[in-house]
Amino acid sequence: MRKKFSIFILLIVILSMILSACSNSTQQSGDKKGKQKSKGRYIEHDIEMPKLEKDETVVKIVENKEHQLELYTYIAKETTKYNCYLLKEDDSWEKTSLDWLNNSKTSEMIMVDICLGQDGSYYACLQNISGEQKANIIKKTNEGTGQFLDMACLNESTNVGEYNTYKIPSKINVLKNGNFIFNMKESAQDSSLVIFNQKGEKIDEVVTINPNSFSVSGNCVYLINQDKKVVSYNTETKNNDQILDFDGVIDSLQLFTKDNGNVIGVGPDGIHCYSKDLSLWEKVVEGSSNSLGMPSMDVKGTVVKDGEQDVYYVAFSEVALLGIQDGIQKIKKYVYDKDASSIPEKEITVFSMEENKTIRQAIAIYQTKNTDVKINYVVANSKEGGVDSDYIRTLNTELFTGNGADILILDGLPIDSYIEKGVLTDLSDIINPLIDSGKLLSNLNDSFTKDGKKYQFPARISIPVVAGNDEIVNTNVNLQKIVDYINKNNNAPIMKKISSEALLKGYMPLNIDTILKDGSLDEKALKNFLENLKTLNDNISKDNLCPVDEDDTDLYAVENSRRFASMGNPYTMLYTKVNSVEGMMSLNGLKQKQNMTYSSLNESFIPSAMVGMNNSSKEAETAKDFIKFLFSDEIQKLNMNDGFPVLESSLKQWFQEESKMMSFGTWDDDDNLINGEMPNEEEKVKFLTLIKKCKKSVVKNEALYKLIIDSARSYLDGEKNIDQTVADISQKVTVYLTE
Amino acid sequence: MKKIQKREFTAWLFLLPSFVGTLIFTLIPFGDVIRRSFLDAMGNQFVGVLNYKNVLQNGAFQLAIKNTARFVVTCIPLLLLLSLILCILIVGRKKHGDFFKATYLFPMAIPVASVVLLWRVIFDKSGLINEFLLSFNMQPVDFMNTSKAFYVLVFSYIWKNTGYDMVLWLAGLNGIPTSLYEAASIDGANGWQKFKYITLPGLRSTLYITLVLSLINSFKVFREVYLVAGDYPNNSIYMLQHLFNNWFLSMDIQKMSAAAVMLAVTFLLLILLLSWLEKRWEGDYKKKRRLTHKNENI
Repeated sequence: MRKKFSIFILLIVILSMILSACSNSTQQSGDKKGKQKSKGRYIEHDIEMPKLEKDETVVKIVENKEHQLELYTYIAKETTKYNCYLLKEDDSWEKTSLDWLNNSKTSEMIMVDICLGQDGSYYACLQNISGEQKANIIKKTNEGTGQFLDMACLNESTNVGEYNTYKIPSKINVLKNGNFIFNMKESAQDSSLVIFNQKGEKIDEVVTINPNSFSVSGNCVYLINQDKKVVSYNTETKNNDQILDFDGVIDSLQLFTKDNGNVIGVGPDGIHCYSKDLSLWEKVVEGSSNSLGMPSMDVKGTVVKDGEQDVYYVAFSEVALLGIQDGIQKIKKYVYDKDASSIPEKEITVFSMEENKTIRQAIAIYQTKNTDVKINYVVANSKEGGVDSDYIRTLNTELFTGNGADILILDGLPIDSYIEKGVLTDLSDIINPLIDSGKLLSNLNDSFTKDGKKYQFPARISIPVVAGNDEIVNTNVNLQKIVDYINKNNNAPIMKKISSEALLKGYMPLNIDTILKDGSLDEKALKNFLENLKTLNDNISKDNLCPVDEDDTDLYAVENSRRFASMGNPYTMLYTKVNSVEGMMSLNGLKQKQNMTYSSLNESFIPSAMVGMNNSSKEAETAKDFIKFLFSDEIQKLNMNDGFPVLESSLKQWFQEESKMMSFGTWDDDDNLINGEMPNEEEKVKFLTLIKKCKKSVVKNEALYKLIIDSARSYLDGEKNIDQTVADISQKVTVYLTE
Repeated sequence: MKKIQKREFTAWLFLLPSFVGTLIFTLIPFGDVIRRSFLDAMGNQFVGVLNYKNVLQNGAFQLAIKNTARFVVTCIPLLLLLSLILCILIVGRKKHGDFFKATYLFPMAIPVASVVLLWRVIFDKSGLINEFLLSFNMQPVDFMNTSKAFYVLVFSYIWKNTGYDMVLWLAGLNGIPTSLYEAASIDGANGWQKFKYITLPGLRSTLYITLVLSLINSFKVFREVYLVAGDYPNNSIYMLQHLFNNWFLSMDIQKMSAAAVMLAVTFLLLILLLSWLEKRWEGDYKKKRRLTHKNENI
């Protein structure tokens, strides 16, 4: 009996352990205790840039032998001048002239890169800007003078027409044995690092996924290999000495090495340190809460100051529109603060189906301003191979249990269901004051008001446009009129060939109101819509100018106008969407070269970064504060190339600001230059007026569209007849609507 | 008395882990489902029987119930009959019996994804069957997007489950004493008479368990349909699980809960009815056997 009793007691203990482990409340209270106790984390600080002269370009930050940070610049005027700024203990800068570089030989060059080699000497890579544009490597001698190195690889030229082109290394470094390692891409696809001896003769080549991310230690090179692993490549044995398993975001990781052999990896998710002794990566600085996590920031260099707790200096280039970079613009210092709570007191979660640059940027900026708040950004589709409906199911389960994300980015989510079921909070107290005071674009108001309440509002909008001759533009995307135009013009292809799915996806939102009337399907209207679309599809399918990309499912892709402009084609119609003032350039190109005009699609706009707030949020105040921040000028004025701002003042600022881009140019198949220029004032005013006129949101009901598109696609592709298709769609839509 | 109490205590002790598991993972969640069926979608407001009323009036629910019932009524008798015939045929074979047993069980071992691929290869508009029809200048049939999809589903269910049911029948057959058949042979009974008077009555309890298991398996056919035809298949194969799946996506958990409760109650009643029938049948059979035995003794 005693034995059985003891078994019983043991079973009870096991069960109670299992149950207690499952308990949510215990864990939370434990977390809270942890929050109260644990202190210490890295905090980001701004380092004020030195006072630079006009046109002075910052090239690189370098750690000198005394472990101080040096900033290298040049000013390319009549004669180029090279400078170095030394960061002192009090974070002030001391300017010194680079005498070893400033001489008559280098006066017509610019600096591409500079490094302190493993042999203890400085090496600079300068490029001629007049005459033959070749690169030169200059070594700082012990006497403090500059010595031009005669490197065969830099003298090799390729003859293109009248010109000789030379290979220019974009990043250089020098190994302990004096050999050079260059990122010297021969083409955009080339992703290898080349090792040269001191005469400039190629002795080895290493393939990497990111040729700009490598660092040297002794005679080893740390790089990211094709298997997306950080490896230490020994240039003497030509083998990998070590494979450093890294589980963070590796694609944009920048590698740096320390004197003690430790490796630093700096990426959007933070600063990681690989300890040689422990053979382990440790994330020392969390990236999502500071500049590291901002999509607009590109890491250009890192310097680590050793100490009880290392201090990290990271140089950033702010990625301007369309990937144009202007050198280093910001330097941030990451210092360990032992008094800062290791986990911020407040924590909210933002959920979105797809990555959104504006949201990510806002999250990072908000956290730098509110160090007591941690915002987790959960992107459902961040990993490949997922299914949207599975992500929604998971999210719904969390929402049912009251544990869902505090803020929902509603793009691609069943918004109407969420509103109907009371999942979303009324955001009127945030949105209405902005509308009443005229700060938010008033034309967007009606589309997002339901029963006098605002459960959702977009942080960005894009304007879909149709471009073509006057007749096409005047059809106002009425399919029947477009079909009439096709018939009138002897059925000549009017538009670039695109997949039937893209056609359906593009036209469905514009015609859904006629297809669905009073909550039921109008079969006659559906038949008419599909027949007209089939005529258009047949018309464009006759074109053999370029193959159809089945993955290209966006009729309004931003790139359309550029592609269109560069193809020297006979088309008369084009759909695209405009995301920014710069995005108007390609439309301007079309207008000038091909005498096209453009107009909005029935005064509609495409909303994105649609914000909603979970009614069950446990940090409602913080969540609302973040939403307010999202609609503040500070965020709205940022141009992340993902849509226009919805704040009137920011929108005006966008149109008034002088763009860094002045024009774009590309060549068509016959080598004709197609270019577009920035819109002039008149054009800007016209487009701004057009944006303010757009009142109709392109409504997206993914579930409904999917079931119509799945059935209609085979009709457009000629596999099914119209009656079968309509019957098929009708029965499915009826079931959907009755559900 | 004390000994009986001890034995009961030991039995409960052994049952406890499974019972706790069932309680945590089935009974308590189902209790929550019952609770939610009387509340609004987010569980904030009591709505009485409104959800039940809405579900019963819902066209999609009616369609799904009709299809599911039609599927069950068509498939289960067919499956039971076919598997029983195969079972008897296999028992009759002394040679190669094991080979056939393994062969019929083979479909159960094929993963769903492979089954779906197989479906597509066979039943697609440009699949094997249609290629075959075209070679005879016959019109191709769109199996999956017409009402013929139902028969494809029936075929698939039977193909996959016949082997399993056959094994259940085999277990039942092995439980019938061979002495009964020997005695019947001596009495001059032919094969049909042996089947009618010995095999069929002896398989009554197996029938009950096979029926219940087949019923449960019939609900698992959704996976194949979903992978082939998605959220909205042809109306003829739109099952309850499609509806539940879509309701979950649109957060209609209140409707799901009400429908689930109704379904569970229906199942419970059905199983209770079958159980009662089985007991009654078994009772009659034993009674008859006792009477026969008595008469023989007299």
